[in-house]
Amino acid sequence: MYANQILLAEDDSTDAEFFQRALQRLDSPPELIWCKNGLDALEGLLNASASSPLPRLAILDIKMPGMSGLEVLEKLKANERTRNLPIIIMSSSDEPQDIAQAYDFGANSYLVKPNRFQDLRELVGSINSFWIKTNRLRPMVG
Amino acid sequence: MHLSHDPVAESIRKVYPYQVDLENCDGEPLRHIQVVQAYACLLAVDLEDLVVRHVSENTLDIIGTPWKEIIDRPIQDVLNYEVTAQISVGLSRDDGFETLNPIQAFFTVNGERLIKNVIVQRDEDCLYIEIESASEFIQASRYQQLLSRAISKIQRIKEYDNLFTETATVIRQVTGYDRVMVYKFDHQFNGEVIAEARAEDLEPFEGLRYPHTDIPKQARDLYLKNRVRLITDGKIPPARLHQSQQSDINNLDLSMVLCRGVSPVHLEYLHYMGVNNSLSVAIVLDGKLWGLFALHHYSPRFVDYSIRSMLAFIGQIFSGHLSLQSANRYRQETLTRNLARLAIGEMITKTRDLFDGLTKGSHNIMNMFPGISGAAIYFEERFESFASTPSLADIQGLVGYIQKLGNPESNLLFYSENLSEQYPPFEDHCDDAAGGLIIFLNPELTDWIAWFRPTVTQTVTWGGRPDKEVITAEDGTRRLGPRRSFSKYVETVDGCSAPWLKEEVDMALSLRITIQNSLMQRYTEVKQVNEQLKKALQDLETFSYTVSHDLRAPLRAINGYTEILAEDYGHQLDQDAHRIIAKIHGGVEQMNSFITDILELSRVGSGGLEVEPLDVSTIAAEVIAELRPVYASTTDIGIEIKNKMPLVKGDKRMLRQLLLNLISNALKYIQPDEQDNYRLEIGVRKVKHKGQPVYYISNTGPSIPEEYARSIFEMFSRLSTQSDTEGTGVGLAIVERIVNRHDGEVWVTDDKLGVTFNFYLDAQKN
Repeated sequence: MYANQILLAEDDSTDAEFFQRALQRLDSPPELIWCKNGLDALEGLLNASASSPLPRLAILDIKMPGMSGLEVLEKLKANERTRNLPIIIMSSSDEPQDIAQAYDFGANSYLVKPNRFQDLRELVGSINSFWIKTNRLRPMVG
Repeated sequence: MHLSHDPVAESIRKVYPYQVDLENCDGEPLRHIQVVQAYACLLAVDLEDLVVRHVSENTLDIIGTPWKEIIDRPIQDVLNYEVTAQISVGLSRDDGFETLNPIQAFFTVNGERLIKNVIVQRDEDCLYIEIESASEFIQASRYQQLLSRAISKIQRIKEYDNLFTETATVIRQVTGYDRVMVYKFDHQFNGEVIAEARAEDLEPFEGLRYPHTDIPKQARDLYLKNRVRLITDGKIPPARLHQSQQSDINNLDLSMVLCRGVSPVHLEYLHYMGVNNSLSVAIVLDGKLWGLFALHHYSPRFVDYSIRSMLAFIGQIFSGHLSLQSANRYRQETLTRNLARLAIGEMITKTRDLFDGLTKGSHNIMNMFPGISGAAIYFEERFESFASTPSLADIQGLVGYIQKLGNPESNLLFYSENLSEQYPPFEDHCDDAAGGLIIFLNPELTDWIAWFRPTVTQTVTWGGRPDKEVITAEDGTRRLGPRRSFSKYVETVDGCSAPWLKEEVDMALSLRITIQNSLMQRYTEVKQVNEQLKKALQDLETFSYTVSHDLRAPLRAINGYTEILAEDYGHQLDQDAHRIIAKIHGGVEQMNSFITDILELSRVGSGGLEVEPLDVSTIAAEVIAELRPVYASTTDIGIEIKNKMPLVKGDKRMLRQLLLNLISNALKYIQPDEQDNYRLEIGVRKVKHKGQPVYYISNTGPSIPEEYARSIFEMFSRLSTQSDTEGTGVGLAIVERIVNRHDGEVWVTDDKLGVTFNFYLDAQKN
């Protein structure tokens, strides 16, 4: 089963706060699990169990101290249990090689952090509704 | 040409076996004239059997034995034991007869016992024995005394200019000749009397010039073999040389023989000069004939062999002194000039500018050489001239001529005392640029420094008209006669400058080397700076990339919190607070565009190009579709994209950025035309540039003033007149950068609709 949770790996607390605020404005917001770096996020997801199931979705920043979002992504997609977890890379970078690499590692989507809060709110809304719908279509794993 | 009825010439000629005429005058066989002067007799002995094979007719007069009793006789039968004993000593010595000469011996002539000097010399085949009078007055001690006094006098001479006159005076004192001249050859072997000592009643010859034909080449060559040449009495007929029937040597070579007969041409020459006796001493410098001591006497005179050897020795001392003095002078001159060159070199270093260094200091190219009419420099398209020089165009004409000549001496240096002779257009500049010295600062011969010298009207005083005469004799044969006139003949020579001395040419060469070193140093420095710049640029690109990214985070924070503030707490804020929030948003937006553009700029600079054929009209249409809502939502703009534009090779992303920036720029600054229409046109020009199609984006509106046409492509440049129009000023910089990376060009014209941006790309190479 998936928990009604979204995991966010983000080292910038302001960006994390914006994401949280944008999420809270949804009608029935999922719970946000905020990891301040890549390693925390990876450990949390790999250690998921019946008592602590996988979130519905993981959103990873690229530039983080210790382990970058792309590394976390690579490792999650290589792991049998987390292989099917939808992962969105969300970065301030719009460098083509970053985008290409993210998709190469199996990211489900690549989003550039919007400059305006309003844009972020809309984006978070669509992410939430799209992935809830997508999840429903797929067989439950876990 | 005239017929010769000259009794003197005729009588001289009679005794000579050779006819010297026009056909053989250049090779007039001086050394083969088979006569000797009457003052001595000659016995030439075959070295194999020591038998006399050639003998002069006059032996009876000199040694008391008729020549017929000498020829074909062994030497010991002819000469007494004292002499033959010395000869056998000389034959066994390595240094030959040099230290034995003269051998003194008694001969009985007409019943009188006379002391004679026997002078012996040898070559590979022959022994040449000359017997002449010995002066009883020349005692060994007297000879020593004269010589050492002469030498010490010469060595005491300090001033170079006095050397000649003083030496001539010393020689006259020793020899008692009427006239002693120092005769110097120029490089064409014309002679000039540069100093003389003479009897008071004689007319001065100093300053007179004599043409090179007076002492022809074969005569000059003989001076190198025998340094002293005595002609005792031109009027006494010489003695013919008889040859043995057994001898296989025809025409004995007399070049070593001191009493060798005199050329009839030369005898005539002396006759016309009024000279009866001449004695010449060769002055040899660095193996070349520098000049002569020419001694003239107006009555017959015999000079003892010992005195003649002493004069040869004085000649050597003089040569040594001369080379020492001229070396000293050269060193002194070079030293002075080197100081000037060093000062210029220092100035170049100090000003860090070659051109300024050569022209600005108190030592500069103008005062490097004396007697300059002007100097000019052309370096890296900068030109400066000092005092009076031909115009730049005229000098370039001369330089062009030299370029065609090439660089034969491969020392990047050209000089001439008579420029117009080589390059006729300079005839117009004869006055102040008769002579020129040019050094080239690069192998292409396009950068140069030139010095010019004015014409010197030289007055040359010849000792008579300098031409030989062609004389037709009564029998119709033509021969060359010597010049007869020695009355002064003054000639004016124009169009030549003062000569460029060796030390001046060397100085110019060393200045060229100084300049080349400094250019090399500058090149190295520029290369280093370039590399540093390149590194700095890379650093800057990395830096701007990082900074732009990092700048975005705080901007998002400002923006986000302001929005949250407006949304969540908007009801608590008054209208002014909302206005302020809007201002914050505006500022953030602008900052964002800056960051986006700078990121784009740094991206264009780095990374590779992926070149592919692209359709400009398709991409332009996409870009316009994207931009129209932003810029043309309120204004009705007529946009036309011409069809059938050729494909262009380029990087797709960059071409898109290029069109985006140019089109958005056009839309930003668009103004209505006279019919109040807003129009934008994208097309291709009819004329290609460097084989590539030229695309243009033209819009209605005022043209860009010419002074801004280049600077608009610089970073952060915006036309101040349109400061109210939004924009970062980076857009066109990005355009230029993209075009540069495609080896193309972008430029502005004020044709078509009004303002037109043109570009072509030429990215094949990448």
